[in-house]
Amino acid sequence: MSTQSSVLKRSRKIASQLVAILLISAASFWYASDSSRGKGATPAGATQSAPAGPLPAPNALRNAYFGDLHVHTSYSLDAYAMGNRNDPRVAYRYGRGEAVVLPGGVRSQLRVPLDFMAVTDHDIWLGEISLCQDPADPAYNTSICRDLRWADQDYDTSRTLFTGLISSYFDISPARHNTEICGDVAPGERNKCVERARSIWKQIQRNANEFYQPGLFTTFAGFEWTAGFKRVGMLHRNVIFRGGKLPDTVLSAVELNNTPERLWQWLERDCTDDCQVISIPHNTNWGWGRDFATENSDGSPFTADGLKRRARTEPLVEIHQVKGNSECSTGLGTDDEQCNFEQLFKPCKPGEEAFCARAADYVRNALKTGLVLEQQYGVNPFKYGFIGSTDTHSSAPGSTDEATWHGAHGLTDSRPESRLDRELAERVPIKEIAFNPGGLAGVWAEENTRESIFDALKRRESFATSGTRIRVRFFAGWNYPDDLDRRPDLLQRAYRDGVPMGGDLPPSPAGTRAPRFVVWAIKDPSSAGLQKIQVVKGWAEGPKTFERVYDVACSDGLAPDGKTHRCPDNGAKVNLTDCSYSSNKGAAELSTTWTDPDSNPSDRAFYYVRALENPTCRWSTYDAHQLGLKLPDNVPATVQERAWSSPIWYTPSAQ
Amino acid sequence: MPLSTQTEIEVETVATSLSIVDEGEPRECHLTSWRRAAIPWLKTPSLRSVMREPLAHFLLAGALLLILSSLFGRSAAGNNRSRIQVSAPEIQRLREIWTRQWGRPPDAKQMDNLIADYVREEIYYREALDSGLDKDDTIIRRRLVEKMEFLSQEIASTNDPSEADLQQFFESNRQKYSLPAEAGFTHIYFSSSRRGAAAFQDARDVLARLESSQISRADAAILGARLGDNFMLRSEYPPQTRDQIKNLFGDEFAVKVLELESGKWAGPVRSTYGWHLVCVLEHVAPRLPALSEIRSQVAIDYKNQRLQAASDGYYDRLRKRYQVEIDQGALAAAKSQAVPAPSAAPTAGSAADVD
Repeated sequence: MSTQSSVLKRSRKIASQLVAILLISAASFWYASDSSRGKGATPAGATQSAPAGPLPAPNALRNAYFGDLHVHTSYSLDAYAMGNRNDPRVAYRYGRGEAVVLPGGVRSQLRVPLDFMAVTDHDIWLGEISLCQDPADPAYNTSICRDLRWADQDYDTSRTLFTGLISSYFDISPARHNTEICGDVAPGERNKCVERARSIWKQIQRNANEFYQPGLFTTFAGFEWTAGFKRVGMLHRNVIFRGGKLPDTVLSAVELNNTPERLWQWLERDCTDDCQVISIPHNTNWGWGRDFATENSDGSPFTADGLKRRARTEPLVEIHQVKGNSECSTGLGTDDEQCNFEQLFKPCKPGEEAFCARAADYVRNALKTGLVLEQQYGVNPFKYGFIGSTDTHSSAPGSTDEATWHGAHGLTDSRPESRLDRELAERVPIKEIAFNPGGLAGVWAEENTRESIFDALKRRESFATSGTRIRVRFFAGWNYPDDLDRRPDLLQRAYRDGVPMGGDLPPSPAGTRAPRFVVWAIKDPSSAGLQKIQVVKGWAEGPKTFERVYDVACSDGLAPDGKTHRCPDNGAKVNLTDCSYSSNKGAAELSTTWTDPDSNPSDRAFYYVRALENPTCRWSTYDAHQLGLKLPDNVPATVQERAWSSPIWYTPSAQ
Repeated sequence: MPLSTQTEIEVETVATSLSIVDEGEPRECHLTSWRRAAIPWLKTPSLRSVMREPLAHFLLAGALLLILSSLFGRSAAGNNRSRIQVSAPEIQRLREIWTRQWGRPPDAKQMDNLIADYVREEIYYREALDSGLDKDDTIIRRRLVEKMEFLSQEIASTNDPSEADLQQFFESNRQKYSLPAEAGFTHIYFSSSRRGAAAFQDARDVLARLESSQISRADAAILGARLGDNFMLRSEYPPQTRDQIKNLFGDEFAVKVLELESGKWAGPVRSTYGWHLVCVLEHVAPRLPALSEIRSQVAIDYKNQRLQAASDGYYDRLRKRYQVEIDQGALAAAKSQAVPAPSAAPTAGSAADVD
C-alpha cells in the first residue's frame, strides 16, 4: 500500500510538474514572442552597413526622405490569414534594404532602401492572433485558430481561408472581439484579448526601437486603428508616435466602439508631455462616403471643439496606396482628366451603397468642403497634407516598383496568375487587377531622425508619390520675385518670404498682388522623365466650392495653352511589347514661378502641386508578359506615375 | 530487435524529476509568477544547461507516466487511483487563470463551475491515458513537437547581447561588414532641362574659372548655385558608396565620382539631371569598419542569427542523447520499391544516419 501510494503520489506530482512545465513553456513563449520567428527572413546580411558615426549637420534647407507608413506583418489578423508569417522585424529588415523571402517564396530586395518607416499592424485582433499561437491558451485549440495557423501551408489553403475570412468580415464589421478566442464578453470590456494586446503593443515598440538608426533609418512605433462599419466600410487610420512615453496599451476600434472621435480623445488624454502622435486616415475611397462626412460618426452635428481636436490629431491623409487612389475621381466633383488614375471603384449607381465611389470619398473634394466648414465652425477639419504608402500585407514596405511587384496580400496574390485574374472574395466584388503597388511618403526634413521627420509630417511638409521617387518642392509667398525658381538663393528666400507645402499663406498685404508659387520637381533617376507639373486650386465662394487645374510647367520646350491651361502632348510613347519608353521625351527637372491668374483675395483657397511622369508600363503589363498572356483589357496598359505636394492654404483676413 | 537505450534515460529522468519534486517546486504558481520566476533563470547563460534538464523531463515525463500506469495502473484502480484531490493550490490556480482571462475574480457559482470542469477534465484525462488514447495519435504528436519548437526558440533568449558576444559575432562575420569604397563630395549643377545642350559648355567655362581663380571649396559650395543652377538634392555629401550615389544621381555619375582625384574641381560629370562639376572632398577606401561604427546593425544581425541557430542547436543537443537505429534492410527494400523521382528530390539525410 505504502509503496503503491507513494509511487502514485509521485506520478501525480510528475503530472503536476508536466502542467508546470507547460506553464513555463507558455510563459517562455510569451516572453519570447518578441523574438522574430520570421521564417522568411534570410540570414544576417549587411546590405546597408553605413557607419553610424556622428550625424552630419542638419540641413536647415531640408532634405527629401522617402518612407512607408502603412505596413502590415504577421501581427495583423488579415495578413496572418493570408499566410504571411514575416513579422515586424522582417519588415524592418526589408525596409532598410536587406533581401527577404516574401510569402510565396520570392526573394526580394528594395532597389533603394527606405529612409523611414512604421509598421502599422491592425489594432483589432492583435490579442486574438497572439493567443492563437499560444499553445498554453485554450484559444490555441479553437477551430478558428487552427485554421489561421494553417493558412501558410499553401497557396490554395491561404486563398480559401482568406476568402472565408473576408466574407466573415461582413459579419464582424464593425469589428468586435472573437468570442471563441477571447471569451464571451461584451465589446470594450476587459478580456484576455485586450490583456494580450497590451503585451504585443510593448513588443511593437521594442521592434521599432531596435531598428532605429538615427541618420540612416528612422522607425516609428504605431498601429492601424481599424474602425469599420457596415459592409466593410473603412474609417481606418494609421496612428504614428514620435517617441517619448507612449500610451500603456492600444485602445482598439473595438474598445472605442468604432468611433474616431473617441480615438482622438483617447490619444489626447494618454499621449501627453513628450509623447506626440498623429493619426492618418487612408482608403477614403473605401469609406462609402463616411470618411469626410460633415457630421460626427454617430450622426451628431460637429462641434468646434471636436473639430479642433480632429484637426490637431489629423494633419495628414494617405492619398495613394495598394487599394487605390483617393485624390480624386473623374466625374465625381471634378472633370480633371488625370483623376482617372488607379481607381478601385466605379461611381455609385442610384441605390448602390457600397463598393462604389462617391464624391465625398475623395480628398480633393474634402479639401473644398473643409473651406466651407471653416466658415461655419472657425476650424477646418479637413486641412490635410498628403502622404502615400503601400498598405502591404506581405511585410514588404516600399516595394512599389511596377516591374518587380510581387503582390501585397501574402500568399493570396503572390502569383501573377492570381493578381491578373481573381475576384478578391465572393462578397467583395473587386478584381485584384484593380490594385496597384502603392505609394511612398516623402518629407522635407532637416535630418533623418524621428524628431525631424515626425515634425515634418506634423507641419505637413510632406508629399505623396504613386511609388516612384519624384521629388517635389512647393512654396508660396506674396513677395516672391517672378523668377525665384531660377535664383541662387531660391530656398533661403522661399522659406524667408513665404511658406512651404503644408503651410498657410499669411493674409495678403495691403495693395497686394496675387500669390506667387515656386513649383519644382525632379524625376526619379530610375524612372521616366517628367511630363509636366500642375497646380490644383480649390476655393470657396461662400458655401459654393470650385476647382481648377493649371498646367504650369511643360517638358520638351512646350508651354501651356492660355485658355485650356494644358500642356500640348509631348509625344512620349511606351513600347508595350518590351515596356521600353521614349528616352528623348520628358524632363529630368521642371520648375517655374507661377502666379495665380484668377486670384480673388476674399476667397478661401488651397493650392497643391501634381507632377506627372511620362507613361510607363503598369505592373499588370509586366505580369502578362511574364505569363505570355495578352494584355488585360480591363485596366490600362500604362500608368503615369506622379507626385503630389501637400497643399498650401490661403485664408483671407477677417473682415 | 535491439533494446532501446531510451529506457536507461528514463530511469535517470525519474531520479532527477523526483528530486526536483521533493525540493518543493512551487506548483501553486500561476502563469504570471511562473513567468517572473522562470525567465531570469532561462536567461542566465550559466544555467542554460540546467534548462535542458526540465525540458528533457517534459519530453519524457509523458513516457514515464505511461510506464507507471502500465506497471501500476490495473492494481491502482482501487480507492486511491480513483481519488481526485482538488487541493488548495489547485483551487487557487484555477481562480488565478480565470481572473487573468476575465479581468475579475470568479464569483461563487463560477468557482463551482470551474471545479466541476476541472474534475470532469481530470477524469477524462485519466481515463484517456488508461485507455492509451495518447498513443499513436498524430495530433498529439504534432502538438507536442510544435510546443518543443516554441521552446527551442526561447532558448535563444532575447536579452541584449553582451559586448563579448557581439565582439565575437562581429569577428567571425567580419567579411559581411566590409564597406565598399566611398567618396564625399561637393558639386555644382548645370541643369540640362534649363540650359539644354549648353549645360556641358557652361560647366566647362565655370571649371576654367574655378581653376584660374583661387576660389576655396567652401566658397565654391556657397557660390554653387550662383555659378550653376539650384539643385534639389544636396550640394554636398558625406562619404557615400557607389550604390548610394547611383540611387541619387545615376550610375554613370557614381562610377566617375569614385574615380576622381580628391581636393580639386573636376568634370563636367554627367548625371541623370545634367552636368556637374565635382570636387571630391574625401575618398574612403574599402575597409572593415570597427564594431563601434556599426554596433546597432551587428546587434540586429546577431539576434537574427541566434534565433536562427536556436532551433537547430537545440535539436542537435537533444539529438545527441538519442541513439537512432534504423532497420537498414527494410529501408533498402523500401527504397528499391520506390518509383524513381522525375527530378532529383532532396534526400532526407538524417533519416538514414545510424549513430
